[in-house]
Amino acid sequence: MEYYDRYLPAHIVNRIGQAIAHALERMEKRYPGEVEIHRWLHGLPVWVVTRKQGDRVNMARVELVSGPLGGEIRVLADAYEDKVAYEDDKAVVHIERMTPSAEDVSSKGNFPLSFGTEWLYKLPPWEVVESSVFDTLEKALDVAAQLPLTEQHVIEYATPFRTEGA
Amino acid sequence: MADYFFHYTSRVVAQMVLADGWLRPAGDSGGLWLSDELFTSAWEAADRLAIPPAGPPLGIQQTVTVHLTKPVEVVCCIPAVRLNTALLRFRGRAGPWRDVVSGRIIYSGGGRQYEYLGPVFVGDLAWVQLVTP
Repeated sequence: MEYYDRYLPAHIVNRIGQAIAHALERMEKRYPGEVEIHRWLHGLPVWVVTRKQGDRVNMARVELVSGPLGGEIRVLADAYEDKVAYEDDKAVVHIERMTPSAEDVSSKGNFPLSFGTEWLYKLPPWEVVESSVFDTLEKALDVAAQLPLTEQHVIEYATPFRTEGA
Repeated sequence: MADYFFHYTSRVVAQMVLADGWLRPAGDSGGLWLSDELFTSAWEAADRLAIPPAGPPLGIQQTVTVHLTKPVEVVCCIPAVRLNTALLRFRGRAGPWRDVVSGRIIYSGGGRQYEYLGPVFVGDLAWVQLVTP
């Protein structure tokens, strides 16, 4: 898989992407059936690891944040719990979603991973990157489980598209 | 099961798909991401499916409107009969998507998402232009 970024050299972005992917494979092997990995490719690679705790979903998101002066890997802890207000075979009116506050996520769940200012030129050993990402993901999932769900969001919900009876 | 599933993407990607005729899972990015919800607005699709932006969203500080940095511009309408149900996995409702620094929720999530672990021929299917902000 080829990754790209508008600021970072392609060979660095690709190597970082591979290191993160390896760390996630380790997560899946360490916690089989317990964690789910969602992988996204929309320009930069983004990954989300989820672990369910009853109705609550704890999440850790990994992404590469870049700018003109360099970049870093960030891991963000988050969580949510949904209560479906009304649902049957045909319709859902809305979902009540509880989440932590932005302040809690930002202050407690934000894990920037920096490998020094020279890391873009003098690349770190990749096993160190993989290990750091893995350890940080475990920490982020633990923190995610502790974040209080204090904010309620009401999400209007569309009906699954069916044609019968139309 | 829904009669139709929907794949949301950009015009550029849609052109590449149509040139080939197939939607294909993209290696280690996992399978194809589908939803059984049809959104007519690009913003609504990105919001409910929490389709991540590439880079910081523009304009979030100044206005209520968040401009998409990863265009969600078109949707491919796929009849369910074209999918192999053994390869279709319900992946739950999309989680929220936050700004990585401020923690502020950018996309609320909540949309139903599926992962399809195989290719789908879509060369003869309808693509619908989404309303953009």
